[in-house]
Formats: sequence, structure tokens, C-alpha cells
Amino acid sequence: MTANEAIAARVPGAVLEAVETGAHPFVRVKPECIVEAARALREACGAQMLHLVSGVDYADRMEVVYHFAKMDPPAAMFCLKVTLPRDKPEVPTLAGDWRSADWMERETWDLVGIRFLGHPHLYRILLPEDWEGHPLRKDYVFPTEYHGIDCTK
Amino acid sequence: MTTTIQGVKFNEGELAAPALPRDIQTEEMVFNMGPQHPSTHGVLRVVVKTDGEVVLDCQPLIGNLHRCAEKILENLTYVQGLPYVDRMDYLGALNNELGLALAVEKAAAMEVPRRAQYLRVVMCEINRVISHLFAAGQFGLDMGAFTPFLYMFREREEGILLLNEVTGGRLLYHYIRYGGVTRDVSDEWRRKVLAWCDVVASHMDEYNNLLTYNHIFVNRSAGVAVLDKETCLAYGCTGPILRAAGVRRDTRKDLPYSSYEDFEFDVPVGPFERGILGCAWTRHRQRLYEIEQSLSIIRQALQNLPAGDFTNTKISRGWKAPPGEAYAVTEAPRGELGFYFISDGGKNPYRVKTRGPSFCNISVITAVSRGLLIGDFIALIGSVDITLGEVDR
Repeated sequence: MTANEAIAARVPGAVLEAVETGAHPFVRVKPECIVEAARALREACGAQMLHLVSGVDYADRMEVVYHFAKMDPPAAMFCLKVTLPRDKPEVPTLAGDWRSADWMERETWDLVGIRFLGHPHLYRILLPEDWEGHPLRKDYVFPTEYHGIDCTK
Repeated sequence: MTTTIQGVKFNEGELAAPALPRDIQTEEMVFNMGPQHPSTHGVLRVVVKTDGEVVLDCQPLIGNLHRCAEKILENLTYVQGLPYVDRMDYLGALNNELGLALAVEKAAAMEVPRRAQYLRVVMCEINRVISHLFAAGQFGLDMGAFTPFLYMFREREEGILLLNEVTGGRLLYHYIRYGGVTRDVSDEWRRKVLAWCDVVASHMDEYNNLLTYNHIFVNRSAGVAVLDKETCLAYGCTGPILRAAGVRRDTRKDLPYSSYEDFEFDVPVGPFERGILGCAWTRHRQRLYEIEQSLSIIRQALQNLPAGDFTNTKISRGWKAPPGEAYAVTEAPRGELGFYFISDGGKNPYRVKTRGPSFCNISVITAVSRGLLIGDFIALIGSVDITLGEVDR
């Protein structure tokens, strides 16, 4: 069963776009359906590991891209995408079902500024807690000074 | 949820602290391990809550080496950016280069000549061998065995010199380019590598007698800090850790890239002669078995090296990838390295997201540290084998 069919069967109306050919097949789902879509991948397609959570700033919108891996042979990779409004990038967390989402979502919050609703402890993981802004946003302004350290040189 | 102790946030998660046997009344103590602690393999800081000698909870605090490599890659052109990924996992630099090159080539639908694919395999496997020798030696060092470390460094140094001869670098190589590799190898170098493979293979018994089957070492590490299959899959742990937990997963076999399907090699999985499934000793033994398989791949690739070009195109300084995206997963020494690459057709990559295997591998230590002795906690970190450059990126 393809990822698209599995998700459509479990959550009717969740799939917005499905690309099944080319270098990077993916399924775009509604943000509010992401938890159920991931469960569909786990139960119908055999996805065993949340491989990567990436946040992408497209200047007019934000995207969160999830890669799942089926580890047992025959191995397979699955990709889910959600599109979020740039002024309010919020998506339900996957940390309840996938423990690896915990750190990956914290990193995405830290560097891209996407808020994962329901995450048990969503605070910065790589940058110091008093850091301003999210560096991987396209409109990020580099700081000139941090606690008296000159950052311009 | 989150509690703050002495200014450090502890994420309790869903794990409840087990009741610990208490012969004497002790007090809980919170202390720092790192970022200058010698057993933490870099600038890892772990805040540990202990009850006497027993670890109750721990919180790895990462980010000391954070350079925002992903932002740097967005701000550099394609040609400028490729050597930068060497600095992520600096012990497996060539494997990082291969990961990014494969992602970009996949998105740009670029063909790579077969000779270049074989040369990439040879170089990456040499890099894997010297990385695993380092990891095994370092783990012995953590367990109090100083001498085996030096024995392993002896062969590692020879391997570094071989890579140096072709690439011009000792640790950071910048050998792989989009569409191929930088330069070809000579027949003399091929003979030297084959001889080095024999030397390393002939020393495996020595390493094992000195360290792996050493009674003290076995008693320190066998059965300690067990990471089972379910925990590994849940936390995203890959590579030798996952295989030591009994999962026969190797992307070189399961999702072959760069002509790995041409080579015959085994994927060893735990448990092995001593220890139990997923324990610290098994993870150590796993790496030494993998060295033998890597040596076999190097020999096959060098003996069957196809004729032809070592690169398909001269990438100019202003080369741009066409718009598109790709996710490439490769087997780096520490686990599955993923690069998610997006191009908008501009002169710089639009976005590069790295899945550093060490990042996931270190996240698991909170889950298994509970109830370990402090000495066993060092065995846990040492046997997981992280590179902080890759955790923090």
C-alpha cells in the first residue's frame, strides 16, 4: 500500500497533494492530521523510525518535512509535508508516538521557529535560551553583539 | 514534565524513577560531567542527578559546538559548501561529503562515473575503518585500558597517511566533488592500500586479545547499559548501536548507493561471543566486526576498479543545481547520515538539513542512564561513540 492510500484510508480528506514519482516522493497532509497520518504510515506501511524532522522557511509559508523509515527489509523511506502560515507556524507534535521527535522538534523550534503544539518541553536545544530569533529563517538578522561579545568580526 | 534543579531543566518524560535498593541513607546530588570531562568525547555536558554511585537521571546539554552549519551552507555557493560538511563529523569526514554530494546529485539527476563511485567507496571505507579504530580505542580508554588505544592508533595513522597521499588532508579531505572525485589514484597507492588492509586484518586478533576479550574489559562492559531494539528504533538510533541490538539494517545493503550493490559483504549483528544483545561490549565488538567487512569491501573495490573517468564534469565555480529536492541516506561510521537538500535554482543551496546520527544516538542516554552506576554511565557514553561536531553541527 502506498503512503497516499494508507493515509487516505485512515483519515479521509487529509491528503492535499501526493507526488509519487521523481527524486523525492512525498505526501502533503493537513497540519491537524499529521499525528494520524504518521500512525497510518506506521500501521499500514511499516514505518518504524521517524528519521528526520526538517523545518523550511519558504518566505511566503513554512513547511515541516517528516521523513520516516521502514527499517526491516525491504527498506523504504516515506515523506510527509505540512504547510503552515508564516505568521503562525504551529503543528501538533509527534513526540507522543515517536520519541525521536522530541529532540528533532526542539531543534526545529530552536532554529526555524516552528511551534509544535503539545510538545512536553519545547525550549531551545542548541542555542542559548536568551538567544533572539530563529537563525534558519530567511529574514533572520545576524546579531552584532551577544553578552558583550562582538559578533561582527 | 520539566523540573528545574540548580538552573538546569530536567525533562522527566514518561519514565518514572524505579525504586532503588537503599542500604544506607544517601542524598541526591546534581553535578556536571563536562564540557571538559575527558570521557565525554568532546564538549558534551551532561548534568547528572545521582544517589550515591547510582545515576537517577541525566540531561545532556548540547550546543557548545553549534556553528549553525545549515545556515553557513545556505550562505555559501555549492562548490564552497561541500568542504564545510567535513567539519560536522570530523572523524568520518569523507562519509559526510558523500552524503551531501549524493543528495545534490540525486536532486540534480547527475550521473557519476563508475570509477568515481568505486573510488568513493574505497575512500569512505578507509575512513570508516580509521573511525572505528578510533572509537574502539577510545572506548578502551574510557574503560581504563590505555595501551590498546595506542595499538589502534598505529594502524589508524597509516590509514590517515594513505588518505593524505591522495587527498592532501589528514582529517578533513574535500575529496568528493559533485559528479565525481578530485583526483585519480595510482597503481602504487592501490598496492599500498591492499597491503594496509592485510596489516589491519592481521592485527585484529591482537586488538581482541588486548582489549575485547580482556577479562577486566569484559567485566566492565558486558551486560552494561543495554539498548534494546525498541528503544533504538523509538529514539532514532542507527548504525553499530542498532545492529548490536540485533537489527540487520545497513543502508549500504538495504538502500544501496554508490555501487555498494556490487560488493559482497556481511552485516554482522549482535549478540556475539560475550555479553548480551545491545550491551556496551556488544557495541564495541560490533565495530571490530564491521572493520573486517570494510576491509573486504576495500579489497573488492580496488581489485575490480573500473576504467574510465574519475569525474564526469568539471564543476565550475558558479555551478547551480536545478530547482528540486532530494533526501539521501548513507551509512556513516556512526549511523545513518541523511541530507535533505532543496534547491530553488539559485547559486546557493536553498536549504540543507542534516540528520546527524550522533544527534539521535546521544538523545537516548537519558532513557537508559537511570539506575546505572556512574562508571557504567561512562561505558554507555563511550560505547555509543558520538562526535560532538555532528551533534551540534
